[in-house]
Amino acid sequence: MTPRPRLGNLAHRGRVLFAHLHVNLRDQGAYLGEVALGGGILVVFLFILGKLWEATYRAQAAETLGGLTWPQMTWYVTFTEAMVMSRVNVARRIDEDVRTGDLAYALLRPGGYLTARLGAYLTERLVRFGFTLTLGAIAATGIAGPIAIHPSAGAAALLVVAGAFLLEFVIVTGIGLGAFWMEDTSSIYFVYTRVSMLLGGLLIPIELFPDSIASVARVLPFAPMIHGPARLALADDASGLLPAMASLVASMSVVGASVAVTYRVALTRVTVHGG
Amino acid sequence: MARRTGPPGTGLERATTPKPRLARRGSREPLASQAWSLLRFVAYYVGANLDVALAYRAAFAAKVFSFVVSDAMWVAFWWLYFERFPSVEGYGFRQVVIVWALCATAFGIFGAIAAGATTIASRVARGELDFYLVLPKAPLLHLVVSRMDPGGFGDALFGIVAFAALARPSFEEAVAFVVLVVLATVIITAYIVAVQSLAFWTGRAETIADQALSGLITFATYPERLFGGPVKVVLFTLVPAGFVSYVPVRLVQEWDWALAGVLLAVAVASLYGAEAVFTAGLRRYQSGSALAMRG
Repeated sequence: MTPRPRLGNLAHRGRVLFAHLHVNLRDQGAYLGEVALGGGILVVFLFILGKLWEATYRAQAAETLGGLTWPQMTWYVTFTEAMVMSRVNVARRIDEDVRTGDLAYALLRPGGYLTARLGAYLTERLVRFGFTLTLGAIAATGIAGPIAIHPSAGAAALLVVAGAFLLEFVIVTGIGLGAFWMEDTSSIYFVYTRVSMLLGGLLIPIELFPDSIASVARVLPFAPMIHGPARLALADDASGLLPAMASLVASMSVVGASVAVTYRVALTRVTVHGG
Repeated sequence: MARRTGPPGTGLERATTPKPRLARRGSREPLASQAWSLLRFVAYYVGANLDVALAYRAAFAAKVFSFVVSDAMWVAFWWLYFERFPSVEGYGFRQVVIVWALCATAFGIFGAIAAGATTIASRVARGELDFYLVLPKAPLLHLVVSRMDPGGFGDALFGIVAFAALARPSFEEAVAFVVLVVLATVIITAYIVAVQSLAFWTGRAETIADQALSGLITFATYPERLFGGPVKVVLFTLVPAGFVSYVPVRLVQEWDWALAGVLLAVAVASLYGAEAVFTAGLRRYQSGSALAMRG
């Protein structure tokens, strides 16, 4: 069989991905109620973190910490929480597909297995992120009051958010593919979520980390996914866009190459028993 | 199930009458003997659950490890915080370690022994309580100990190690810690049973019950003095973080017999309260007549 030209192949995958997005977006409507009910704990988190930072600013008698005022700090945590709480556990789904053999079936679909998974992931993540950020914004307004967001900084932050979603998909796909070799990958995913929360700057901006830890956090892929978009959204302009995207691209290159190799090796281990 | 009795004379009418107390009423056995029997029952179930969990040793070890890492990350967050700021509302790093050690150990023991409590809502919704209602042991206790969360061992392990290594307690503090962890575990279990039992009235209560548990953990693991006014009232009533964490932490640092007595009374009252809610709910229970294999 003659391989398709590469650009044509990419365009084909793009059309398939769009079709997956369309179908999955309609599916998400059925689960909006569940997503909404899950928002309660977000409000609790933001309330507590708002109180913690309010007490911290008061104790320090400081106007700004790490370059952020108290309302900005509350909104920073709102953005980072929206990034973290909108996560979709793709690793578990890939793990299930590997164990049940559904992966072998999905490989035959147009666009391949990962395109289908990416389509489902992106739609679910977008719906969750939109809802979490909206609810978080309402809560943050109630806790610390509204803040001004520069339009260009806000738009730049959304671009970085999109890149962060893709980077996380690649990382979590790598974890899910571990099912080819391991008994259980859920624990690895759990550890990943916790380590990324800490070193990604979920609760404390990286500017407030001790220098030695901050320098490590800046080279890991977690900060570009969590701290990066939140910090950019609160900036006065979009000048942070290029460094933030460069950071994402660098992380994506390293992680993406590793996961691509893992995926190819994993496919050689696919075995189909009966039908 | 309570309103569905079998035909007279078949024995089912007796078997399906709910007897939800932690211990069956009307027993002629002495109280100490009943307590010993209950303890042996719980120990047997914990052993059996552990055997099941250990059938997948690698998965068990990975889950325990992941919970230890998760707790460690939260304490690391506080370490980062206190590296930058010396204290918050009178709490320093040691106080926060005690908060986390106490909560992790109590929630860990709850998970290792009583994780079945977190399944009440889903089992009520699916009408799956029949199995527990027809057996001689008290249904509520049986239901509560029927499941184990292996992650609980990770939480408990972390809590004990963190308390010993980071809080460096005196002998008196260590003894207080053990007693207070037991009381906190009792209150957590009672709270979860009560919230999960809402399913008897609402039909589905899994999401609200999950959120109640998450809310309790979240509030319990932050310094008490962050909260005041009506929120503090809520934290000593509807979401008992005050009795799970704040009061025990005060007692570990400075023992007060009167306060300890209050905590003991709250633990006993919450246990009876949870049982009363479950019992009241059970009267509304309807079987799903589901046939299922239990391995």
